[in-house]
Amino acid sequence: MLILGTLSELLLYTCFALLMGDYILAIVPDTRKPKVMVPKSVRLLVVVGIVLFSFVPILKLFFYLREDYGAGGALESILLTFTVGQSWLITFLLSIILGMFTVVIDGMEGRRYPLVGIGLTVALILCMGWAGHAASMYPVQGFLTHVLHFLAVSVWIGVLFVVGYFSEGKGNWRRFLKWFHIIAVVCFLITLGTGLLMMQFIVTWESYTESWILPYGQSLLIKHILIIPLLMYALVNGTIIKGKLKREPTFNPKPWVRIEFVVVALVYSATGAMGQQSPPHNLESLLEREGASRLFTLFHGDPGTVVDAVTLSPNVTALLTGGIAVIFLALGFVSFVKKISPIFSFFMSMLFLVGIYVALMLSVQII
Amino acid sequence: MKKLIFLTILVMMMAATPVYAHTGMQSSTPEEGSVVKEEVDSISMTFDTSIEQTSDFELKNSSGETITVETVTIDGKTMTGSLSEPLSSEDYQVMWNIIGADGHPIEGEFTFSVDRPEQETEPESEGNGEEDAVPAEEKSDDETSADMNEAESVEDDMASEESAAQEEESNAGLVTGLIVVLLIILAGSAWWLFGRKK
Repeated sequence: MLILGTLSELLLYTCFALLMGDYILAIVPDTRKPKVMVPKSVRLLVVVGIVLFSFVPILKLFFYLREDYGAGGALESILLTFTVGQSWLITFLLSIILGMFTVVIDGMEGRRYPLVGIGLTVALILCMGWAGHAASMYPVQGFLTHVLHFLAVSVWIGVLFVVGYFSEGKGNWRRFLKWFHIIAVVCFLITLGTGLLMMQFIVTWESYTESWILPYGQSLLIKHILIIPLLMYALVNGTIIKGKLKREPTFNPKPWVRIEFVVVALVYSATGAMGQQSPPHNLESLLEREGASRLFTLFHGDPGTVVDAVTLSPNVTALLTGGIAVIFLALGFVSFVKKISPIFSFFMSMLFLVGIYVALMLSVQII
Repeated sequence: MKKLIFLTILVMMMAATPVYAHTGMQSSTPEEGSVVKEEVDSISMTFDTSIEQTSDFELKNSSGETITVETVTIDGKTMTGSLSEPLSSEDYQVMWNIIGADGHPIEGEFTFSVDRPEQETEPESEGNGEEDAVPAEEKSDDETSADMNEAESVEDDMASEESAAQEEESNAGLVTGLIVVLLIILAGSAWWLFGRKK
């Protein structure tokens, strides 16, 4: 269940990114981007993907309500009275329009068509935000924060994804980086800011370490750790690669962009997993009802249901593990300088993740 | 055939939807754990999130009988159920089951007691006694747990040291193993990275 839900969220976010990235790149003049070609079949698949993957939560609700209301009644209540159902119906309608638009409009001649595409994508994102957890708690503030978060990520990762996987050659790469680097930085800052704001709706900084006891907090922690290697690849792909391209004309930047997207996919997965788990609004009742995270109990045993506080006090072992982790990250970076396969660098980043995670878990003290 | 198996697994995985404690109840009337002296002819709950129309609750008395709730109205974050007649003096349990606007099912429960003064005339003493008895029991419960808490905190040093020691013993091997493995990979990677010639 967790895996299926997480996977569908990962694919949903990826579809949104591809959609957004494709249309944004279509606006950019040819001289300022590498040659990009997203096949029509992929464009259509993405639209179908959005309809299907956004339906997964509806399907889960349907199975949940079917026992009490019967299949017809459950479907009717969900689609007609529930926010998530209405939101999905609108998503479905918008996707049909987008699908027809994709079929009819061949090539991306002129700037008006991509703008329509961007408009429809933004409308779809508004729809997602409307039925999200943040908006269910704070209808205005939560909605805006969620939508801004989603938009910024989709713009940044979308362009990255399309350029990494659907470009031909690497012409204009440096001219492309000139504008994309700025957009990426701005989008990252917006994503970070809105992300932390949304986190405050659920987990305050004071209860951050306590949330680690629960599966939701574990996903949140893993997501946060992953942002560090992501930043490293963003730095590599955004700035350091410029000099490399200048000095070595044969250097292929795309594998590095792809690795950055793989890390993003992991961040997407962690986010998707969080959507499947209970946010720690009330730690003790959650511990009573659902119990602690199995990853957490692996380190500290079952904390029971009474937890006053969770503090961090690093011991020698934790510091050692953390130190090793940092060296792994450094090796991941050096492998770029030394022109070693990005896959090696990716493994280093994963070992960094494991190391930092273990170091933090070893530092945890339950009071 | 493969598709069919895949679909079956998919549906089976979907069907096992767990109930989330996504958001909780903010407040209720009667309040959680309260002893109400007034007439109670409706029960209302306010949640952290807007809730959907299928949200519902069940009311049970101390002997476990379900008390019919006439109508349940849902308005934004609030769910109100009206009762056909005021509740008699007794302990009650409310089990709520809602779906938040983000589409996540949530359930929970709370208890309250009714102790109506109109029953003063004759069963007053009894009622009073009951009332006394109930909170007393609760209190003693609270006290014991408080005691236990205190005891825990008093023994905190000892107990936590002990348990920490035990824990460390059981995990020490694992952690050491992990660090050794990480170090070996680290050495290998570094050697591979720096040792080989381009």
